[in-house]
Amino acid sequence: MKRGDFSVNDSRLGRSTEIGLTPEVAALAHELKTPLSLIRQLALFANQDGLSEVQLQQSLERITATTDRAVRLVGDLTKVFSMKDSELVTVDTEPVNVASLCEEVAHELWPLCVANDKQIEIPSVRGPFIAVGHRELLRRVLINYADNAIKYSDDESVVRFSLSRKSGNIRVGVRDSGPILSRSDISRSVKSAPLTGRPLSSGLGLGIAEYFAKCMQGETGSIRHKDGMTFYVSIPSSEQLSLL
Amino acid sequence: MSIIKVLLLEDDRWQADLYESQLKSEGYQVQVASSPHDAVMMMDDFSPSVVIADVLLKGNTVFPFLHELASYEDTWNVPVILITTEAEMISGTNLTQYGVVRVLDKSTMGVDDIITATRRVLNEG
Repeated sequence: MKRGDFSVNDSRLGRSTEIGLTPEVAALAHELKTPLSLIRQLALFANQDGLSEVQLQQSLERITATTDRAVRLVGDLTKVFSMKDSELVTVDTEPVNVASLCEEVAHELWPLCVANDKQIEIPSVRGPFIAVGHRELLRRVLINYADNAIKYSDDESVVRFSLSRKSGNIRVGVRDSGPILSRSDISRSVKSAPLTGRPLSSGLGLGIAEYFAKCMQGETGSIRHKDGMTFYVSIPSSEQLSLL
Repeated sequence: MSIIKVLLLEDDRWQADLYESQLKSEGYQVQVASSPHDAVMMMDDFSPSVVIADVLLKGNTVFPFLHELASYEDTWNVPVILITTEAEMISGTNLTQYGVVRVLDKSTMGVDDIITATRRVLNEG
């Protein structure tokens, strides 16, 4: 064991695990410190005397939403590490109705939108958008993008999903109107997280999304706009319908 | 008694709401900037007595903004309070050249700490 590493006895699994002080652990600690600090401050605020009912209710909603974000991040990381453990470089794929998945994600994140004074818009599409992917991983990628867009978009703006077909792939984009990261920022976020180093404050999610996309033989990318960005995931389109 | 103006640079709206609410309840006049660019724009018109700023901002840090403040005759001496989850990482750094007089740790600070720090900074000034 190296200096600084430590071991944890997991009584449920009946084994001892060595925890190395790796960049992944540092990245996770850094990423979780922000929501945990906010939850703590919101709780302290809510515990003050003299708050109105509205202030109290708003604080509780924000505590819930911030906790949800942190739990999602931990869940995604747990998924990444469980996949690494089992050496699943790729995952079993199946046809996924991407349009309906976008609706599901928008529905799931609606409370977060309301709490942030944002709207979320899903595209009305003609015909099926069926991809070959892993539904759960794709859902996590889209939630990740939309969650970030909701959190960092300008006030009262709209977060928009988009769907398109390109070179045998289906591309799902999430457009925000937030600050524009430079190419080097994005590159640094993706390259350094989650597996190789310390990310920017919102970089871990992008790294996880890229990892999940690769597991589905897909890829991620981003497009800069004058007033925001689109983050997208591109995965193979299903050929099933064309065979009918 | 004149109203004391506080410029708050914080990109997390919920965090900004908390600080703004606390500062306003103590009678301070507060303007919130969500980016260094907005903060620079506000400096001239608002002329704050103190700046309270987060360190890690969206796609940037606070330091280009602080450097900008330090570059101008009318802003170099505006005291700055940093408020950050990275307090332990920057606590040993010499930030006085940027006008930083206090560093508050978001992960341990109490509800009144921002008020106490602001008062002290203004009294010391």
